[in-house]
This record gives sequence, structure tokens and C-alpha cells, in this order.
Amino acid sequence: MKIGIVKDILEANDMIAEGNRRLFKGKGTLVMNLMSSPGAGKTTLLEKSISALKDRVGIGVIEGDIQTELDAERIHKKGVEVVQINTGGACHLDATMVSQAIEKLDLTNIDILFIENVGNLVCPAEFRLGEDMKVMILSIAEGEDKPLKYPLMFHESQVLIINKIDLLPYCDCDIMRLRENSLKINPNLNIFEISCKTGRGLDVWYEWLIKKVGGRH
Amino acid sequence: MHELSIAQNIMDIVNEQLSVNNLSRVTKIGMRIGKLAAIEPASLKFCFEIIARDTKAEGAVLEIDSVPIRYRCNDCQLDFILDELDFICPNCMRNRLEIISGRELQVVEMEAY
Repeated sequence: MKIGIVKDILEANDMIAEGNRRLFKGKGTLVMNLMSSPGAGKTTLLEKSISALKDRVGIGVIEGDIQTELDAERIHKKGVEVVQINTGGACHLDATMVSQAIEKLDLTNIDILFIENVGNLVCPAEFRLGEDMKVMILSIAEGEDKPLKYPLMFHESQVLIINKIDLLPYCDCDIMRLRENSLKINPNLNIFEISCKTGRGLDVWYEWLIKKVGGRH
Repeated sequence: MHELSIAQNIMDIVNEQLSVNNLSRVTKIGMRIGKLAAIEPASLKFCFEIIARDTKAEGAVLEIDSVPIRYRCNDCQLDFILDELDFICPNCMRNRLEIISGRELQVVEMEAY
């Protein structure tokens, strides 16, 4: 017997993501899904952003890693609420993992929730979590060809943060070409150039974030 | 990269359909997978074969229809297919493109008894 069905395999994930999104919206929490390859500087950017902004806005963090609680410990030291998700091998976070994590957070005091995805430039782009925005971080040592090699991630993101610009003199990365390649794939990308090491460019990022929260503080 | 969990999701859909239709065995599963879905068909087939062992889907064939990447240009309205993710309209050379298809990850048909 032939059975005709059209069933999206990720439908279950999308439905749970939609539930998360509604919950966030109801609490007035702005949610950012941070994605990058391992070592691009997601956690360091979070540490810096928390230190700079925690007196102005309520911040919460969900940390996604294959294993260890190392990142959650780093964030915990900054004095904000943090929940660690260990995916146990999975290459991305999914909506169910996030919905379980938010049960452990008091969203009423959280204006911005950062969800740090598993370091990976491919799979996280496929799984909605219920976020308002996908934020990609790329360090310049990774090279200007990455938008061309991993286009979906760049296409799906609303923000691209180019990190470690203090390394420009030591790398062959052509940052203008990197910007061009990124904007070719996604002309609407908001691009920030920063160095978490020297602090360059971070103020612009902080002010943009504050504006996104809606100036409620 | 996450073919194993996708294979598990396919298995869930298959089991649900078998139970709804009161059937005991599936022999073929028809799928549509977009070229942008980050799923490797060979790897998915391999994962599914392992998951299906000793189940109602053991030996079932995964028939995968690959869906090309189709764009629509928001400037000149051209509708076109490209093999790669190259975000430039071949007609007006601008890049305000919308992806119309290529991200599908669907079960569309089953043969079962």
C-alpha cells in the first residue's frame, strides 16, 4: 500500500521553537543565538558584553557544548544566570534542549538571553531555537573565504561579528574582501568589527545591543 | 553532520504512519532533501539502515529525491536554479535573492503492508 504524506522532518523542532519564541515574547526577552566555529570567541565576547552591560540590562546565558561545564563556569563568574547544556555529541542545539534549559531560568529578570550554540559553522543554521536573531562570530584568522564556503550560516544570520581584528597584521585575511563576501550572500547583515583582546569596536556593539533591547532601561 | 538524529526522526514518522494505517511493515520511504539541508544522502541511508534493524522498517529502501536550490530575484523577479549557493542573479547581477527551494527535509511517501 502506498501512503502519500508530506511531513517535514524538522517540524517537531520548529513547533517547539515556536513555543519558545512565544514564551520569550511574553516575558519581553530578546534572544540571540550565537553561532561560530570553535575558538572564534563566543564565550569571550559574552564575558565582555556581560561585564559592560549587566548594570544596564538583565542578562541570562544558555551555554551549549558537546561536553564540559567550562563555559558555564566562566559565565557564572560574571554574576549572571547561566544554564549549561551538554549535547553529548550532537553538533548543534535544538529547540527541545533550549526549552528544557529555560525552565531553569527566571526570564522575568532577563532582558537579553544569549544562547551560545555548539561551535560549528554548518548544522546550527538548520535548527530554529525560538531566537529573535542569529548572530555569527567569525575570527579573522579563519580567512575571508568562509562566507563562500559556509554560505547558509551567513545567509541565515542577521549579525556578523568579525572578531580578533587585532590579529590583522599577522594574518593574510583581507577584511574588505571578507565584508564583500559576506554582504554578497546576505546584503542585510549588520557587521561589527571588534577585538575582545584590545576592546576595539566593542562599544559600538554594546550600544547596538542596548538599542535592540528597546531602551527600557 | 547530524544524519543519525534525522534518521531517528524518519523512524518516528514511519512508526506513526504505520500505526495510524494499521500496517506492520514498511518497504520504501520516499524523501525530498534539498541541496541546502546539510544532509549527505549516503550517510543518511547508512544511519537509517542501522536504526531500522530489528524494526518494522528493517530493509526498507530510502528513496531520496534531491531538490535543487531555486532562487527568486527580488529586483528583476527572475526565477532560477543554481547548483551552488552563489548569491548573484545571473540576469541583473544583483544579490537581493530569496531562496525558494533547496532547504526541504521531508518524508513524502511510504510503501507499506
